[in-house]
Amino acid sequence: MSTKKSGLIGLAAALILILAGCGTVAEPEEQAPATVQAVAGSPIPQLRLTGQAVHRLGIATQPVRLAHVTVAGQARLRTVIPYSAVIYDNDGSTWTYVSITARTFRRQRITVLVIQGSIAVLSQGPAAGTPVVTVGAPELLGTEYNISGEE
Amino acid sequence: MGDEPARRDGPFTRTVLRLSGRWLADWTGHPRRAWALAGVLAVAALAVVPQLGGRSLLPTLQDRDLLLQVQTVPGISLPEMDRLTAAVSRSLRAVPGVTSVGAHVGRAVSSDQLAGVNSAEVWITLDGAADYGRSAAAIKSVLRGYPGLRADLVTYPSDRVAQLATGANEDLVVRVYGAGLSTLLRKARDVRVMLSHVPGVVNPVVRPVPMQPAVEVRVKLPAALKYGLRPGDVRRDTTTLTSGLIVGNLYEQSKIFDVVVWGAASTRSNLTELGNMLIGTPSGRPVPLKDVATIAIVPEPTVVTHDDVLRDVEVVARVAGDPGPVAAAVKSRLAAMPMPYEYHAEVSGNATVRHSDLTRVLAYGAAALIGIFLLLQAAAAGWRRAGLLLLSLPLSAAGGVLAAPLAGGIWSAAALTGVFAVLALAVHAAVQLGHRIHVVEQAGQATGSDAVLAAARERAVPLAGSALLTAVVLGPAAVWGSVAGLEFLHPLAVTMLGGLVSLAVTQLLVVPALLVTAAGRPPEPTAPPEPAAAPEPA
Repeated sequence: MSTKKSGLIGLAAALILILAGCGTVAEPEEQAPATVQAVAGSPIPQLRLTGQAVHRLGIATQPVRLAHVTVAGQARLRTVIPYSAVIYDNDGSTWTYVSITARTFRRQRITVLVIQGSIAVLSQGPAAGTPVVTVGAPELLGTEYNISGEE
Repeated sequence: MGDEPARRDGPFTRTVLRLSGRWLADWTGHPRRAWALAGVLAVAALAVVPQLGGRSLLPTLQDRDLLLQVQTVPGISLPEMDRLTAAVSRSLRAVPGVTSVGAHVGRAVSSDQLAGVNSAEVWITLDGAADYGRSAAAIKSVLRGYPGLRADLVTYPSDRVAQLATGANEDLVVRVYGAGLSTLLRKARDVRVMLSHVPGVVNPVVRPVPMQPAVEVRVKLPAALKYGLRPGDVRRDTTTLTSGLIVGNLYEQSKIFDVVVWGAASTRSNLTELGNMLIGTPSGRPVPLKDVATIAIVPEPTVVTHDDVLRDVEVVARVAGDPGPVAAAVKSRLAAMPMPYEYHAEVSGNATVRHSDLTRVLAYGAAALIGIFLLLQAAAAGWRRAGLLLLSLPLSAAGGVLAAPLAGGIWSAAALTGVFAVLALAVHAAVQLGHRIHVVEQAGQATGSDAVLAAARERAVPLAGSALLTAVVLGPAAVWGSVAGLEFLHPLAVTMLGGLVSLAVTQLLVVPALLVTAAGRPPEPTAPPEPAAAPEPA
C-alpha cells in the first residue's frame, strides 16, 4: 500500500514537472539593439546602440560647421547644421542628436534662427565640430520614447 | 457464405473478448488497484489546470504570406519612413526561407486603413518548403535588431480575426463623446476623478491620445485686415500652396490624372520658407505669410477617430471583485454627471459583458451535467451506479489533457474539441454500459456484480472497435504534425488519441471494476465468468 502511494505521488510529481517544462521555452538571450541610460542631473537620457543597430538604421553624422550666412541682411559667421539633423518635438521645440561616440547619442536642445534650403542656421546649439546625426534621428527618438519590440 | 450456420467472430472480436475477460477477472478481484488507477487518472485530468487560459483559443494558421506592421515615432517624414522600410525589407530578404518582400508606407488618399506616415505594412512570402516556425523566429529576430520601431508579425487571416474580435481588453471603459478635444480631455479627467471614488474601481486612467508635431498657421487678424485680407483668404492660399488643390482632370489613353495646383517643394519644406510664402492680396501686391499669420509647431492627435460623427476619449480602469454592481454604480454616477451640450459618456468593457458570459456558460455547463446525470440514472436504473459512471467521464478524458502539450497545449479550440469529443464518446459508453447492466438484470440473466461483468463483456467489443477505428482515422493527422492545413486537425487528433487511450482504460477496466465493488461482493476468484467469455468456434 505504502509503495503504491509513494508511486502515485512520484507519478504526480513527474507529471507536474513535465507540464511545467512545457511552459518555459528556452530562447537564446539576444542583446538589445539599443539601451537607454539615464544621465545624472538631466531628464534627457543617453542612447547606446550596438554596432549592428547603427549599421541597420544606417545612421550617418556630419559635424556642426561655421559658415558665413546672411540673415536679415546681416552676413555673419554662424553655426549651421544640415536641416535633416533638426528634430521637432510635439510642442515645437527643436533638438538635434549629438553623437558622443560612434555608438552613443544624446538629444541636445537647439534654437533655429532660420532655415535656408538644406541648412539650418542656429543661434544656440552644439559647438562647431560636434558630430550630429543627419540620418536615422527619428529612430533614435523612437528608441528614447520606447517604441520598440512587438505589441 | 450463406450456408454457414453461425456467425463467426473475427480475430479482433476474439482477442478483445479474451483480453477483457482476463483483465476483468483480474481487476474485479482487486478493487484497490482499480481505485488506484482511477486516482492516477484523476491526477492526470488535473493537468488541465496549469494549461488553462491566457492565450487565444484560435490556432495560429500557417499562412505563407506574412504581414508585418511597422510603427515608428509619430512625426517621422515620408522619405525617412521609405528609407527605413527599404532597409527592413532588404534585411528580411536575406532571411532563409523568405522568397519575396513587398511594402507600402503610410496611407493612400482613399485607403480604408487607419494609418499615418509613421506606419508601414511589409508583406513577406515564405518558401513552401521552409520551416514555418523557424522562419517566423528568424524574421522576428531581424526585427528586434531595429531599435526605435515597433513591428508586429501577423498573418492576414489572424489580423482580420483580431480586428473583428477587438473588444475592450479592460474591465471598465468609459468613453466620453463630443466635438472638441480639449473639452473631451477635461471631461475625461472629471470622469477619472469620479471613477476613483467608486468602490471596486482600480487605477482609472485617461487613455493618452497619441500626438504628433503639426504646423499651425494662425491668422493675425489686425495684420491681415491691414492688407485687406480675410482669414479665409489666408487659409485658402496656404492650404493650396502646402497641400495642393485639385483643379481638374487630364484624360490620356483612358486613364484619368488629377491636375493639382501646389506650391513648389522648396516653398513648403520648412518653417522659414513657409513664412516667406507669398499670399495674394486685393491690392495685387503679395505679402509674406509670416506678416499676416503666426506659424508654429503644435501637438495634434496622430489619429482623429470618429464614432457616429463624434470624437471620443477613453477612461479605462480595472475592476476588483464582482464587476456587475461596479458597472451599475458607474453608470448611475455617470448619468448624474453634468456634461456640456452635445457631449455624453458611455460605459463599456468586460465588466459589463464578460460577467454575463461567464455566468451563462457556467449555467449551461451545470444544466448539461445534471442532464447527463439524469440520463445515466435512467439508463442504469441506479443512483449509485449513475454517480460512478458520471465520475468516470473526466477520467476518460485525462489522456487527452496529458497529450495536449504535445500539440501546443489544451487552450486552443482544436484541442478542446478533441477533449470534448472524447467526453462525448465516454458519455455514450457510460450510458450504453449502464443500460446494458439494467437490461441484463431485467432479463433475469444475472444480478449484482455478475450483471455488471456480463454487460461489461458485451460492451467491450463495440467500445474497443470504435476507439480503434477513430484512432486509425486520426492517426495520420497526429503523425503528420503541425503543418500548413492541419493547424486545426493536428491538436484535435493528438488530444483525441490520448483521450482514446484513457477512455479505453477507464471504460473497459476501471468502471466495471468499480461498479462490481459498488454492486456487492466481488465474485469468487475460483469461479471467474471465464466459460461464458469467449465462445470458441467449433
